[in-house]
Amino acid sequence: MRVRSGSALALAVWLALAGCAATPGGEEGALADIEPGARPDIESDEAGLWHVMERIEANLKTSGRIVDDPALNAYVREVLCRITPDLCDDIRIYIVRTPNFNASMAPNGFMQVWTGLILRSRNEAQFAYVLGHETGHYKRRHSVQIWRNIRSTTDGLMFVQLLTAAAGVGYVGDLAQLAALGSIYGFSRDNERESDRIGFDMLIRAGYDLYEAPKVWESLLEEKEAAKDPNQLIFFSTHPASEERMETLTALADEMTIDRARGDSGRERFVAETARFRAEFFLDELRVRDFDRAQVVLDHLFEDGANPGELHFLQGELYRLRGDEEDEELALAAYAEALAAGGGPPEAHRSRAMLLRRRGDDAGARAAFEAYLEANPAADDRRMIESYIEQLQ
Amino acid sequence: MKPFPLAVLLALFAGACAQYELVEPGRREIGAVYSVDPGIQWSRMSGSRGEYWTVDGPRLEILHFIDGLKDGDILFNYGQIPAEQKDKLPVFRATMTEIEVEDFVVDTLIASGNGRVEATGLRPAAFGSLPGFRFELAFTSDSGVDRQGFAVGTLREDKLYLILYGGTRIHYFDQYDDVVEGIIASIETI
Repeated sequence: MRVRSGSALALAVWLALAGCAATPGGEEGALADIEPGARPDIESDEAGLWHVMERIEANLKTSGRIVDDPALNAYVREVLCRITPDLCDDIRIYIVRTPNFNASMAPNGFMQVWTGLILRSRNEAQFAYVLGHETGHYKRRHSVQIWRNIRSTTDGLMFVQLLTAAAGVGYVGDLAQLAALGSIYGFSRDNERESDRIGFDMLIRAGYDLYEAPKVWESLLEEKEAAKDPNQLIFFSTHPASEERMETLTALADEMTIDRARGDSGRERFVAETARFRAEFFLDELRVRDFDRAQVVLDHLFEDGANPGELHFLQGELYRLRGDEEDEELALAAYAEALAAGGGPPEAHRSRAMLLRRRGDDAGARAAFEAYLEANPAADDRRMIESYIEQLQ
Repeated sequence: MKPFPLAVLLALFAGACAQYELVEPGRREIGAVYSVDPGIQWSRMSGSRGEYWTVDGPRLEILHFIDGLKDGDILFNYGQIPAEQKDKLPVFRATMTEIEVEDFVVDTLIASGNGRVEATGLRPAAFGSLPGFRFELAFTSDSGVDRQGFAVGTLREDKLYLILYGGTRIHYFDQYDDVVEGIIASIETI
């Protein structure tokens, strides 16, 4: 049975409802923590869930969307092991190239980290909070709890069939499907609070600043406000967010930081390890063509301010690709700022040249194309650019 | 697969596979702008924006003739994106340069679920007697299959004419690579 991609989202919603209904108090059905190195008894229902997850993981592992950069993978693993040294050996990490904020942990121990999360994390503490929160769900076996509650209902068999069939699909092309299948979602508010608290325990032991956690939600909520289609923000479909959540996290940070030094944000280290991906991950965002939402993300990057030459170039690209009435002028101004600041990519010259050529400024366009080739002698499109220069003589 | 058995198979399955038709070597028109010589036998299927040819099946190799894309058109949707989500696909703009056309093809491949998409070597290239362009492509499908290809095209009178050839990096791209180069060399504008 082939599961239509739309049904995976329906599945996620159904799970959310089932999850909330099934564990009203949070205590009922609570399970023991997962033990390092443990595997469920082969005859248990949990083993059945692991088996399904293993098939999903096998599909994910070979997907063209997995980022296999060794240094980035090593860094993400380093952060994970810093916050959960006892469990990290059991966890396989997959970095998925997709312009969306998400991380998830499957009950059998595979973790997805989407590149949209790496782009939006302002520092290592924020990144670690999200990883720690997801590890909290894994540690407390919340997914198994939901799996058991669902299976005990009359709809349980249908759910099992849907999930198993979805796992049999040859690829995980649909984002909602990827998110829904990567874990069993629909965590109750108590599950969420428990994961936040566990996540905070991990952050404290690793020396991070807990006050970075509510900022994650603040930024996401801002982005959701601006989004053309808020349903595209996958993380919200599985993690309800609200002002209340931010207040709760701040209060939790107050409670757990009392009598302690406020921890470290780990900003420098995070920027050093991830800066080289920032432009390409942001350009992924522009492909989604929700420019108001992308602008919120870019505004946050501007607040951090690293490599302004690159940031102004990305701003120029946003205007150029949006292509509204005033945007040509705005884009040219942004490229000019990028070039003045320096340190940005040579493509600022090329994008500027294309716009100047379009508005008939042949001399300006030619000069900009020449500047591009000078700044980028190994330009892959050199022959095309040289033909433009010739045409503009 | 040798041409003769393919023709037999196609004749046998003509009833069941009515949407494919046989293309024989010998000049034939593509849309209203140019003609080519197929070189070998192909199976042809028409699409909403042109036609595509294959020998072993489109998942193994595909030669896609995109015929006169105009402002606002998508490049292709190989069925992976449901109709209600078509706005996820990028659209062609009549003001595009060749650089932007390259981005447009890359963006479409990404939106279609492919990863590690790389376009390289953008350069001027003849499209028959018309000035055109060419670039190479490499990407990995969502199911993990490495694919290779190239695009040859021309921008003419606010429209994009493009020939996309792609196949699995192992075996199928190479299998018909020379034949497709021959087809491109045979382009004659009408």
